[in-house]
Amino acid sequence: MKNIKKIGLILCFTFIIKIMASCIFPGEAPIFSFYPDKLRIQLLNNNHTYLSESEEDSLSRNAVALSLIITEKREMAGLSMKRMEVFAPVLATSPPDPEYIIENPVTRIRVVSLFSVNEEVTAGTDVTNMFLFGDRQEFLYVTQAFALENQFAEPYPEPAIGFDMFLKPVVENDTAQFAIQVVLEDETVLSDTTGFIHLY
Amino acid sequence: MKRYFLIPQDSFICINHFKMKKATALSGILVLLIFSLYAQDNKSGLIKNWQIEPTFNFRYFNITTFSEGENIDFLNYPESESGEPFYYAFLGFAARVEFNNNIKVALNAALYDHADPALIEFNAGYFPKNRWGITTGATMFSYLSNDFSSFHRKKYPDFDGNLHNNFQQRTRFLSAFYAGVEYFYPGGKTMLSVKLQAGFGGHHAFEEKLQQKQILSNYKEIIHYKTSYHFSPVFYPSIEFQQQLINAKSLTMGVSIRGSLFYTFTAINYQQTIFQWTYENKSVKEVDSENHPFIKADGSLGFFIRW
Repeated sequence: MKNIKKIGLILCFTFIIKIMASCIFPGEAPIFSFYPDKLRIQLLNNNHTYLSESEEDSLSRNAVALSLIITEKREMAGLSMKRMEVFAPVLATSPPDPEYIIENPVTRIRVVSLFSVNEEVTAGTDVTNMFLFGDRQEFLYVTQAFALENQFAEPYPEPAIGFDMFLKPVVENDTAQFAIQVVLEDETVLSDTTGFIHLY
Repeated sequence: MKRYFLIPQDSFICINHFKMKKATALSGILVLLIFSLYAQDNKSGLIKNWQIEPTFNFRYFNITTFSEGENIDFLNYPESESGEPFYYAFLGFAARVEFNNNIKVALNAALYDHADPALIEFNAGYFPKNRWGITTGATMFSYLSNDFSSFHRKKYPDFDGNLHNNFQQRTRFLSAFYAGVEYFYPGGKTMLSVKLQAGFGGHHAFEEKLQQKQILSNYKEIIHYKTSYHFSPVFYPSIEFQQQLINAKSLTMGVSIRGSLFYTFTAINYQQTIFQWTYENKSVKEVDSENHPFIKADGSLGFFIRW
C-alpha cells in the first residue's frame, strides 16, 4: 500500500514538472539570411476567386498573371530542412520553424512583351507599368514600388521571395510572351522568359 | 506611399459588441443610479414607491421595401425575405420610481436571444395635475439585416462576390429622443396610462465593405459604404395597463400589459467609395436613399412588485 502511495506521488510530481516545463516558451524562431540568385517564372490562374498555379500554358486574355519566384540556388537544400529538430524538454509546443530574410533585395523589375498586346502596345514594348502586384495582406493590387518596399515587411518561411504580377489591359493577340529582368541591389540582373502563352 | 486602410469586415462584429457593451454599461449606470436613489431615500423620504418587473416581450417589425435602383438601399434588406414583416420574442426588465413631487422615472431594458440589445429606454414624467403629465425620454433598439450583398450579385452577374465574409447578418441600431403627454388613470386595483409622444430618431451610422473580383479577369474592386446619422420624425404612442393581484402591507404585486408603436419615415444615406484595382484609384459619391415607412410594434407582459 505504501509503495502504491509512493508511486502515485512520484507520478504526480513528474506530471507537475512536465506541466511546468511545457509552459516554457520554446524561444524565437531562428532567422537566416538568403541571397537570391535564381529566377523562375510560373503562370498563374486568376480566372476565379482564388489564385492558383496554372498547370497549362493557356490563360484568359483578361487575366494574364505571372509569379516570379526568386530563390537561392541552394533552395532545395533549404526546403528539405523545413523543421529544425532541436532538443525540447516536452513536446507540448513544437520548436519554431526557421525564418528567412532577404539580403541583396530586388530593386527593379522590368517586363518586355515579345508579342503585341494591342494596337498601341507592339512587340518589344516595355510593359512593366501595365502590371500590378499582388500583396500578401491586401485584397486589391499594389504598385511595383510598394511591392518592392514590402520585401522587408516580415521574414519568409522559405529562402525564396515571390512576386505575383497581374496584367491590367486585355491582350488582343492570341499569344503572349514576356521577357523579365529582375535587378538586385548589387546590380546583379536575373533574367528569364516565359514560354508561349496561349490566350482564350 | 500613401495607403488606405479600411476597417476589416470582422471588426464590424466587434463594433456591434462595442455598442452592446456601451449599452450594457449605460444600463448598469442607470441601475446604480436607481440603487443610489434607494439608499438616499431611507434618509430623505423623497420616493413614494418603487416597482421592478421582469417582462416577456413580443416585437413586430414592418419595414416597407422598394425595388432596387442604381444604388443599394440598406433598408431593402431587413431580416425577412422579400420585405415581409418579421417578429422577435425576448425577455426584459423594467424598473420604475415614483417620487413624492409628482415625478416618475422608468427604465426598460431587454436583450434578444442572439445577445444584441433589444431595447434600452429611459423615460421621465412630470404630473403637475393628478391625471395629466408631460413625458420625455430616449429609446434605443436593434434589428437584424440580411444579405444586402444580394444587390451586388444581381447588379454584377459577371463578378464573384463570394469573397471574405460579404454575406453576414448585420445588427442595425436605431435611437430616438421624444417628448409628449401622458394620461394616467389610477383606479382602485387597476391603473391605465396612455402616452402620446413624438420626437426625432434614426439609424446609427455604420460601415460596410464588399470585395468582388470579375470572373475570367484580373479586375478587382472594393465597395465601401459609410452611412451617416439621419434624423427623421418619430411618432411613439404607448399604453400600459396594470392589475394588482396581491396587496400585503407595503408590498403590492400584480401583472402589467404594455403596448407601443414606433413609427417613422426614414432613410439610410451614405457615402460610397469604390476602389478599383488599387487603393490609390478610387471614386467617391454621396447617395441619398428614399424614405421608407418603418414600423416597430412592441407588446409585453410583466409581473410587477411594488413597495
